[in-house]
Formats: sequence, structure tokens, C-alpha cells
Amino acid sequence: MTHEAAGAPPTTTTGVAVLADIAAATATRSLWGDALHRLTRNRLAILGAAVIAVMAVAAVFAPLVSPYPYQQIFPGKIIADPTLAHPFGTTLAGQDTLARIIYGARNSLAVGVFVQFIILVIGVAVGGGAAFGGKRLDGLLMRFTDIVYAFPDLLFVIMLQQVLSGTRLGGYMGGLFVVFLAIGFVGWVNLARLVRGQMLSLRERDFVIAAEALGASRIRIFLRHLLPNTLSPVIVALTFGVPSAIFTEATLSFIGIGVRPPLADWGNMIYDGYGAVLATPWPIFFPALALAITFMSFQFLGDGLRDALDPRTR
Amino acid sequence: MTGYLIRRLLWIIPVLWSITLITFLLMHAVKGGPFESGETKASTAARDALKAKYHLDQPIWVQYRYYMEGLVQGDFGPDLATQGLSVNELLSRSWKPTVVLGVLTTIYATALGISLGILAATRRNSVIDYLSVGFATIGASTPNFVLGIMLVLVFAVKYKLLPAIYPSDGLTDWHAWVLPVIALGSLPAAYIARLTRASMLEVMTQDYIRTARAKGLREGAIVLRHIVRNALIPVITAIGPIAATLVTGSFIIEYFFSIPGIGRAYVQAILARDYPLIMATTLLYALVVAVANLTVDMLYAVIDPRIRYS
Amino acid sequence: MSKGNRWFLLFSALASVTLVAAVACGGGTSSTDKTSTAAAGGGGTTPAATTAAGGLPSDAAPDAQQVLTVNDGTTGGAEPNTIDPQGVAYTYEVSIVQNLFDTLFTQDPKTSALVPMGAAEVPTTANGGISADGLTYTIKLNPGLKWSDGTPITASDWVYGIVRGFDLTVSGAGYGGFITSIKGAAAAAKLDTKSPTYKADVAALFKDTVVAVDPSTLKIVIAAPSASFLYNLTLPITSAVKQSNVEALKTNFGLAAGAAQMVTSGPFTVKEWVAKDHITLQRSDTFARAHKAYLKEVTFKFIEDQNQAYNAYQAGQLDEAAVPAALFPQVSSDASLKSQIHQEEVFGVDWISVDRTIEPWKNKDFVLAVSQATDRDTIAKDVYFNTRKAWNSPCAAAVVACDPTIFKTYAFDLTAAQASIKKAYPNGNIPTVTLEVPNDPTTKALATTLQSQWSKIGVKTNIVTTDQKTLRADMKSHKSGTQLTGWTMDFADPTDLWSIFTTAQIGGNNLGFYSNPAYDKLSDQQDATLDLTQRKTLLAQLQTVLANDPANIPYAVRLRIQVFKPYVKGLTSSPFNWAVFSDQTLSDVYIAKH
Repeated sequence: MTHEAAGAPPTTTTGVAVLADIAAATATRSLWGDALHRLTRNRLAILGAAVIAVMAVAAVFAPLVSPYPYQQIFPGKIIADPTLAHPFGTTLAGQDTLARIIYGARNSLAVGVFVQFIILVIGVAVGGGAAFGGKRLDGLLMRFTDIVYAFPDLLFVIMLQQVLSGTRLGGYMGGLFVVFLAIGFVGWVNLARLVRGQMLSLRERDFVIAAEALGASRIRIFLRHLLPNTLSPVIVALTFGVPSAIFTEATLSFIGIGVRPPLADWGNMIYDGYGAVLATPWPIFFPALALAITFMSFQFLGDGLRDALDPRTR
Repeated sequence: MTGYLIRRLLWIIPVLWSITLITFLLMHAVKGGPFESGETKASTAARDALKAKYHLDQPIWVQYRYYMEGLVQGDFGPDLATQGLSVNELLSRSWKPTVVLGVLTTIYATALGISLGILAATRRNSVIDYLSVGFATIGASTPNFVLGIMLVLVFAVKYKLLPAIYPSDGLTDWHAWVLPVIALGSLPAAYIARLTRASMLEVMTQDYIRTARAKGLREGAIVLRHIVRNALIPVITAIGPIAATLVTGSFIIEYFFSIPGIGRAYVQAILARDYPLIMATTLLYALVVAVANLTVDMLYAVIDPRIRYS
Repeated sequence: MSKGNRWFLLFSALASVTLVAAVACGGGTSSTDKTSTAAAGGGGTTPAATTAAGGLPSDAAPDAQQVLTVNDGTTGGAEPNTIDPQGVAYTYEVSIVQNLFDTLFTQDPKTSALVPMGAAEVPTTANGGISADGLTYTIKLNPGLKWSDGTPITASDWVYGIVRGFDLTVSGAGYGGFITSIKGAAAAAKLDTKSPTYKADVAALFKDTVVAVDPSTLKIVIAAPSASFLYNLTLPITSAVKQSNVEALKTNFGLAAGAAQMVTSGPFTVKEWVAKDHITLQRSDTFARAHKAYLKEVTFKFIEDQNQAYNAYQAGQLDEAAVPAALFPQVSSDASLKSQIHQEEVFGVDWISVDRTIEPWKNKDFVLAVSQATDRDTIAKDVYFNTRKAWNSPCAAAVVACDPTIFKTYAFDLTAAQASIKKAYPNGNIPTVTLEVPNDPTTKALATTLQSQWSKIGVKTNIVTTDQKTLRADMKSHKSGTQLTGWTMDFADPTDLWSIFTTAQIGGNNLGFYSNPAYDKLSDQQDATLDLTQRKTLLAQLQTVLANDPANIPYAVRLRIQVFKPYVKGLTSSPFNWAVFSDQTLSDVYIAKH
């Protein structure tokens, strides 16, 4: 009942489609070495990685880096223009915009990374299970995938978030935890299909057939051969997935779903800035800029990784 | 192939049924009800009367049965926010703006994306290439609501050239669509441009192009007949899911521009706990996604003879 | 991709950022509206309008242009749940309904005195309208009034409308709590709404207390003397509705599906109600109480986002919009926009309702401490850009016998707050409180400001952003403990305000479950006292009870700030109004030549 030819491109508008026909190269140590070498020669990708690294460091060490606590209110300085004391100006609530962007990086990057983690776990489990668990499990899992896929994802996220925010989970991480869950729960479908397609095509490859002939156990084949060889397209997909999760979260913030005040995140900052945008552009400009830079950095890094991990597309 | 197509089409039914079940359970798990008012001055007895009228005082499985009984007869039930109207009536009005927005945006994104991609690839490293690659990068990294805000401020508020919100006669007024289409379509346009450019560059290095050149064909003919035709195959297959995403993902733009379409109805329905409308919009969107998904799989088979469905 | 290409990519990315900045800056200075300035000049120089008999004012644009499009943003811009006068519950509904259905009386926009509308005169003991015992009201109707279908409005129409207000199944009964003075109301509230004879049972209860004596005379008997009773007859729930029309439309009366077929008594009828988009009213040609409406059509667009509505106003799509708070300083300093502002205090108070049945709000000293820690001046200035006025009494200044000095215990005073919190929690184990707020930027700014102010006395606050439905559900189920709300007065009589803190109103307008037997008694007593001096004494006592045992934390009086295009004329301002248009109806509003 498989309705999709092995390796057929998954239907998606993200970068995943581009990777679809990447076939895994044989697993040798030099593969990763070569890839790293190619990656370091790609200056744009390195720049992306560097920007991401800087942001990650700033996010982790926010209390040290930030000029003020994110929740500190400066009475009388409401939506103030940038000054030396507040280089990015202040927000509608009178907080320092720079401080909130730095702390916001925490939440926005956390969304990107944790969502990818959830996607990775579910995606590999479902995709791997489908590819390797026999025909019946494959049918079952793929049918399940169809159902989740048919759900309009952003809309489903909104509903799931609304449901979960009423529960005890709603309070974790200032409301962010349910956002992770909601975006993660609907986001794994493409990865699961990618993993399944990769593994099905790998199973027909000579080195796997050889390993089977040599009497290697299924688990061993899965762990030693299939998983490592599926890794590179997965890494690329996850890299492209980070900014799209951040975008999703920002979009949700814009219609009023997301972290709880006084926590900061970029989408929320844009939404709050919109309330005053005719009076001053700055509260919306800086978080939008942060979002754009993050998006581009991950895009550059993703492009670089794809080129590095699959030299054929060069 | 036909047997496969029928099986796939039939499979949509259980998918949609699962979605009704999941959505029904989820939305009833959201706190508050359709007749819980947000402000003061509302009476309890009236609310109870309304709840009874719409069976909301019954256990959830009874409510689900009522709903499914209506649904199999094509009745999406009453609209709880505007009591007296049916969801069918509401949808019969609101699908139009959503489809118009989806179609116009798909045309815009495709036309702009493909032409930019072709221009960039054929004039590599020229100003045009740089500009289109720049556009692709900006377009892809600006969320559509940020773009929407900027467009409204400049073209509606400052220069008063275009409406800031959907005018009442929007369906027949092209002005209504310019800003929403640009806001919604620029990200997919950027994506299509990237895809086209990459695909073009790949095709250009193929042997048969070299052969064509060697045969002394005119450059224009090579580009049109050989490169573009072959390069567009992956692009065209990408447009299906993009169109589906545009239709189902337009709610933020509909919300922002007050376009009375299905997306805005969905957001309003969730905020108002308008259960039948939530169900109907979710189901419609799921149908769009399922059909688009199927179409794309079929398209692959048509374009790439190596793929066989059984 | 070549390397040079990639570097250019980066360059263009940076260029895009500059572009974004340029666009955003452009937006910042965009509010200077040159076209409007010209229009304002034109409109402003026209001499004050005088009404030509039966026609439009002399400076009015031709009839074809008498079309107004508004958002009604100061009442929320929301779509009405119903426009059934007996069913309305919210200000955004009443501002539409008051144009469709006349009530017996209305308030003078300047003095708040009762003015006859559907009635011919205001009944008094002197003119024989009120019996000596103060229980029987005889109301002469305004002669010659007609329904929009041309038939005369008679006393039995008023009887039908008023009694219908007690029918909890047909109507939303949003204002039901205010018409309880009529004899039979108490019994009506106890009837079983599910009984098959319910409607007949309701009618039977008022057979002798709401009576059409003859086609032009209405008699109403109330259960006990009430100082506020006649004011209740300004509420839409007491409007006459045409029985045959109501019965023909069945449940669609008042809803979008039946709106255009509704027979109305006011200056307008419904042309169309497009659900989730707009409602359009049109001039009623049979209206005879005063001159016919100048406006041919009025459209209310449903836009709940104030920024969207304001953008649409700037783009020329709306003739009216509310000014978002953050834009107020800029709009009010802009020469041309300033002249378009209509600014007025809302007749009511914004407060934080606190759940007096759960910890820590149960503790009245804690409520006082939090109130004393709330720096209202800073809130008015920083959060609301002076679109609200700092205020710490539950009653607006214009409410009869409102005495703000009694509520000085509520006022911002950190020393007092420290003392109160020590009294409330001597051991310092102060429970964390929750502020559930809707997710609009200004309200979030208010919440974060409150959080920071309350932290100064050691109160920790969790802020939860959610939607209105959840807010309401959580407050009702004692989960959140707080709700940012307030009260806008329906009429100037103090009973309209003070009755909402009575035990009887729990589950209705008493959001904080406030219950104080001494207060309940005083509230009933003051309404039954017709002598104004005596009543004022009781009202002072009532306010003292509340000052020592707060029901809520008042913090501001809202200013209603709207912009109207300069060609919109005939608007009058009033301190006693809460709807968009102060003149109760839009019948005097017109579009000037422009």
C-alpha cells in the first residue's frame, strides 16, 4: 500500500524539497571531514554560523550581556527613540528594547531548537519505524502521518496551544513550553517522510545488502548503516526548520498567542510595536531586524550544509 | 494508476473523519464556551437557554453525534456567533475572498518567482541577478505580517493609494487585493525564485544543452525550449503545496486586512468558541491540503516516468 | 552560486535592512494628512447649520452623499450579538440599537435630566403621572408616532416590549437586572423557563402592572418606591417592539438573518447586516418624533483592532475611528489631525475586579494594600498617554452624590500600602496573584506596570495573556482572581452603579463576588428613598462601607478619543454618555459639503 515511490520528494514548501533527491553517500569517516572542509570554505555559511553562535552566546549569558533586566520599566520613557542609554530605544511598556531583544533571543532560539528536537525525535521514530518496522507498521504509521499532514498546521497549533495553555503545562517556561509542543507536534511529518524515503532507498543499496548477507542484525544495520546515512539530509532539514519554527512562533505572537509578559520574544515585540508604529518605528524595527538576521543566518548555514554534505548539487 | 487514484481519494474520507474527531475533542477542551460573554451585563438564564437550544448542555459524545448526523447530510450546523445563520451560509460567502486571495497570490508568487529566477540564472552575476537574489533573501526573511504593516503604512496611510482594510465591494475591486497579495505572496515568490534559479543553473550544465549549443541553435531558443522547459519541472511540482499553504496560511493576512474570508472566520471562531465554524473551517482546510497533496503525487508520476504507483 | 554572488547576497540583505528602516521611518511621519487639512478648512469656514424645514441643514452635502461609515471603535468596534432591544447587553450593541428603537425617555445630553421620547411628558407627582404612594406611573404617549412600516405605535406595543424584557428565553435580558422595580419582576425571575406555558405565565404576571389604559396611555405599577425607576425606562430593554413583526421573524428577530425585516420605531431601519463585516442602517421615512434623520445611510464596520481602524480612517475608508492610546500624543500635536479629534470623558470608571472569595483577595487589607500600591498617575501618563485620567473612586464624578474624598483610603500611598500589607500578612508570606489580561499591547503594558508597582510591597504577580472568553471563564470559576474591567453608567442615577456590588448581582454584574450585608441593605434603602437629602446621606454611608471593604481597585477614568472627518457635522458632546455619538441617535448628524 505504499503510495509514494521511495525517495520521491516530500511535498513541502520548505527547504526540505530541495534536499529530496539527495542520496546518502557511503558512511566513511572522510565524509564528515570532507563536509567540514567544504563548509569552512563557504564564507557565507561560516558567517551564518558565526552570527548564530554570537546570538546563542548572548542568549545564554543574557544576564551578563544585557544592559538592563528585561522586565525593568523606565517610567516616563515610553516608546522613546534610541539614545546612548537605550541604544535601541524603549518599548510600549517602557522597557529597554535591546535588553528585550537579547533576552528575546533566548526564547526565540529556544523555540527554534526545542521544536527541532521534538521534530527530530518524532520524525526519526515514525519515519524509521515505518521504513524498518514491516509492512503493517509502515502502513499504520504512514496513515497516521497522512492525518497529521492534512491538518492545517498553523491552525492546529493555535488550537493545541489554546487547549494546553489551560492546563498546568501552560505555566511552564512562561507559556513557551506549550508553544514548543504545539509546533513540534505538527511539524514532524515532513521529516518522517524524508527519513522513511531515505531509509527505504538505502535498504536497496549494496553496502546494506552486503551487511545483511554477512548476517548483521536488523538493529545493527539500522544503527550502524541506515541512521548515519540518513543523518545529513536530516541535519540540513533541521537547520532550515529552526528559522521556520521561529517564524511560526512570531506569527502566533502576532495574533496574541505566545509567551507571557513580562517575558520577551521577538514576535511579541513586533506585535507590541505595531500598537505604536504610527508614532515610532523603532519598537517594531529592531525585533524585525533580529528576526530577519536570524532567518538569513540559518538560511546561509543551511545552504552551506547542504552543499557541503552533498557535493553533487554543487 | 486509476485504481491507485481511487484508493487515495477514498482514503481522504477516513482522514477527514479522524480530523473531525480530533478537532471536536480539542475544541471542547478549550476553556470557555460560545455563550460566555467577555464583559458584564449578561444573564445566566438566557445563556442556559441558548446552550440548550444548541445541545451544548449535552454530553460531548451526544454533541458529536448530532454534529456528524448533520455533517453527513452536508449540514455544517448553525453558526453560534451569529445565531440564526448557518455555517453553510457563512461559508458560501467567505470562501470567495479566500479563494481569490489564494489564486491571485499563487499567480503573483509564481509569475514573479519564475521570472526572477530565470532572469537571475540567464544573466548570472549581473545587476539583475544580484537584485533578484537580494529580493529572494529579503522576501524569505521578512514575516508576512511585518511586510503587511509596512505596505499599509506606506501605501494606505501615507499615500492613500490603496485601502488599508478590505472594502465592502472588495470582490470586484482590484485595489483591495494589491497589498494583501504582495504581503502574502512575497515569501513564496522568493522561494520559487531560489528554486528556479538553482534548477536553471543545474540544467544549464547538462550535456544536452551543450549539444544544443554545439548544434548552433540560437541562444534564445536554447533558453526557452531546452533550459526553461526542463528547469521548471521541479518548480511546477512545488507550486501545488505552495498554493495549499497559501490558502490555509492566509489567515494572518486575512486577519490583518479584515478580509472576510475563511481564515479570518477561523481565528474569530476560535476566539468566540464558535464550535461548528471551527469544525467546518478545519475540515475545509484539511480537504484542500489532502487534495493538493494527492495532486502533487499525481503530478510527479506524470512528469517523472520513473515513478510508478500501484 | 559563485562566491561573489554570495557576498552580494549578504550585501543585499543588509541593504534590505536599511530599506525596512526607511519604510518604517516613513510610517512614523505619515500622519500629516494634507487632503484632510484642505477639507477641514472648507468645512470649518461654513457657517453653523440651520435646519431647513423637513430638509437637510443648509451646509449639508446633497442627499446622495449623506452616507456615513464608522467603526464605533470607542465601544470596541465589535459585531453585536443581537440588535433585539430586549436582548442587547453591551455598549457596542446599544450604540446601534438606540438608532433603531425609541425608548419612553432619554437623558438630556447636557444635564442628564429625563427628556420624553416615546412618552409625551415626564410623569411627576405634580402632573398626575406618579400616584401619591409613588407606586403607579401613568405615562402619556407621544402622539402620531409610527413604526417603520407606517402603522401607529400604541400603548399595547409598549406593554408588549416591556413585558418581553422579562422573558428570559426570547431575550438576552442583558439589562434585566435594572427593570426589577416593576411589580411582578421578582415572581417572573422565579418562573421555570422550560415550562411550555412560560410565555403566557410571564404575561400573566404583568397583566395588572404593565397596562395599556388606552392607545395613548400606559400604566406601570412598581413594587416599592424607587428613585431610579424612570431612568430605567431609558434602557433599550424597555423599548416598544411590534408584536406581529417579532412573531413573524421568530428567533431571527434581532439577528443578522432577520435584521433587514425588523420593524423599528427610531430614526433608522436596518438596510443590511453582513455577518462578521458590517451593518448598514438607512433612514426611516415614517419617523415622526422629530425631523427625519439627515443621514441616508450609516454603516458600522466591525473592526476590533483599533490600529487597523485608525489606518482605514487615514486611508479614507472610514469617517470615524478611535485613536489608539499610543498615537494620542502625536495626533493631538498634529495641527490638522487635532481639529478632527472629538474628546470626552467616558461616564464611568475602569477598575480591576478582584475575586473577594479567594486568597489573597479575600483579605480586605490586602486589597487595600494593592490599591495603595497602584500609582495611577504613572499609569495614566505612561501606559495610556493621558487618554485616561488617574482616578481612585468606584464612582465617576458626575454620579449623583459620588464623594471621592470617601475613597482616599484607596489612593496611591506606598507608606500606607506597606502598613496595609503588614496588617494583611504579618508573617510576610504573601501569596502570588494572577493578572489575566487580553493580549493587546496597551493592556499588556498596563499589566507589566502593575506587576512592577505591586512588587514594591512584595506582591508577586503572574501575568497570563489570554482571550476574553477564557478571562471570563476563569473569573467565574474563581481561577484567575482578577479581571481588568469597569463600569460605564447607563444613566446618571447612582443605583445604576451601586446595585452592581450587591449580593443579588453575583453571577451577573458583580464580577468580584462581593458580598456585604450592610452594603446590600444600604443599596436597597437608598433606591427606595425618594427624598434627595435623605438619599444622599444613605449614599454617603454606602460609600463608606465600600471604602473600608473594597469591591475592586478603581484606577482610571477613560477618555473617549475619536477622530471624525471634518465634514461630519451635527455631533454634540455630553458628559453623560458612553456611546459614540452623544446625541443618543445619529439623527442630527450629517455630511457637510466638501
